[in-house]
Amino acid sequence: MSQTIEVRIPTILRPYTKNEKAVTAQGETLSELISSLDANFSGLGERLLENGELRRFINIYINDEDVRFMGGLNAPLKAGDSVTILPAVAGGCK
Amino acid sequence: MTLRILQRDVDAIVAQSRAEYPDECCGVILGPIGSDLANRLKPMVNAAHSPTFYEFDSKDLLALYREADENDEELVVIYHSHTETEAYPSRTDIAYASEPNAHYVLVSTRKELASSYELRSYRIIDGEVTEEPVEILLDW
Amino acid sequence: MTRYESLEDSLGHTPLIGLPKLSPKVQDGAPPVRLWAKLEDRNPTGSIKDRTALAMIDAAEKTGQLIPGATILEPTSGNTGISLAMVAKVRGYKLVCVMPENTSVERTQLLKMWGAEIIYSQAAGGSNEAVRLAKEIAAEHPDWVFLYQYGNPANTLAHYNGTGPEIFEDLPEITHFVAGLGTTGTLMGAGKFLREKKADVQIIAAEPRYGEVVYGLRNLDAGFVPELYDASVLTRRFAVGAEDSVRRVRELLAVEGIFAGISTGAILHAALGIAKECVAAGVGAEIAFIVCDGGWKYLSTGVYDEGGDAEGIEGQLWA
Repeated sequence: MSQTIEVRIPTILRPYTKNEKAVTAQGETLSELISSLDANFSGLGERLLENGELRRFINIYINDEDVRFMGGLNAPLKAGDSVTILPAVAGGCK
Repeated sequence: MTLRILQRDVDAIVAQSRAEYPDECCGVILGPIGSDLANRLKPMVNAAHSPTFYEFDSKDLLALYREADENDEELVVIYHSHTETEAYPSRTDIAYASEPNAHYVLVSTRKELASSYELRSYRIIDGEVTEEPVEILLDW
Repeated sequence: MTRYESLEDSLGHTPLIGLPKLSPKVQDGAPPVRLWAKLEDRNPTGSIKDRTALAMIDAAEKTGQLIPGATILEPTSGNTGISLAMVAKVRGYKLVCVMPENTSVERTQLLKMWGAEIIYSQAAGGSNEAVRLAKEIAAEHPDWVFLYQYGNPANTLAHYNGTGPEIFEDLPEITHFVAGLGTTGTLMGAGKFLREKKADVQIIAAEPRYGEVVYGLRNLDAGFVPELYDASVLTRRFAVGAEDSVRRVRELLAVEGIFAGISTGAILHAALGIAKECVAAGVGAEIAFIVCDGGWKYLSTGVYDEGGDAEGIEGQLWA
């Protein structure tokens, strides 16, 4: 059994987690963690991934670091890490 | 729902929009969770530095949510400026909007408005845009 | 020393020039924030890709993979093809390029001039589709040499041994390095070298905003990550829209007199954004960025027509 990681869920995704702000999941990598999340909270995986890649409008952090700078889905996780999911805040005039 | 916002914050947002022209400016107003009270203005850096796009830097975004969490606050208002177009959400604004509880505020400081401005507020949920009345107050 | 035995030997050692007018003004007494442009259009065929092409061919010759008369296959949005075509012509190889059908007409003309054969991939898939088709063709022709700039370590090494050291020699006080995200070779190679010399140097990638395309650049979230990419080298990815790229490339021409290609507009936009943040924070900065190529190959797109509407030319521009 792999390590348990705390995952903080943003408001917009809480309908998938019965309104829980933080849940736990397992995984040695971000990819495994997302599979584990999706197994417990059906549909959540699809809100994070698109065609097998991280969605652009969703930011995922391991502790203080954006996973985009840690190898994306291959980013390694270790016991005690905390994962935060946040929707990007962006827009424009077009 | 009506957006209730303080005059001093409106003035600050308009001033920020003019100062950062031609780039779009952006920021949030925080308030106690569930209160819908737009209490604490926090201007943000537009990491895109663009006249047609705004984006919070990913590190700034994490810091913002952490700070809100520690203070038991949430994003009551998410605002940005349109420097050439009207204060209506664009396709991009709608595609990105992902805070169902926030008031999305747009301020336009386009040239035709001269020294005046246009400020409008919206709810954007699942791609659905609903404009809401704005009440500007001197104090709560 | 400006005398060389041959055109190939004149590769690299490109000038690093200041941008006195585009560098932002700082408050009295504040440390300067300066922009420096590395003019990679001063290479033998006019782009930074000469470094990649020459390094990949040299490496393939050394391992014996490339023998006289061999055929080289490469997916390319143009510049790598042009560089490879020149070296292949001079050294006696055949070159087959896989290129999106909507790349500018000048690129096709240049490639044919140096004797390359072109296979067009569908415009809709952009350079990702060119890569996919090239991999398919490579599998059908095992005798062809597939250099594959996206995964060839010689590409990164060219910048680790060339671009990086050149910049550091000219600008040892460098604080930020900004380049475009394409094969990622420039950022990985020069970035790693600079980091080794200066641990706190910021390595910034300019990439097209998700869902938009800028010639020669790619967004890593759009489904294809080059094998060369190592996320730990970068400190920031700066997403740039097509309109901002066009605006900046025009500004560079109008204000500093530098006639650069489109991707340089995206890179400059990121560099100016960083500069603005440094000024706001009151910290000094010496920001080096890459001018990938000159504007010649993009004249037909209308991008330099001051009155021209960036949106109007989008269809033909963002291959």
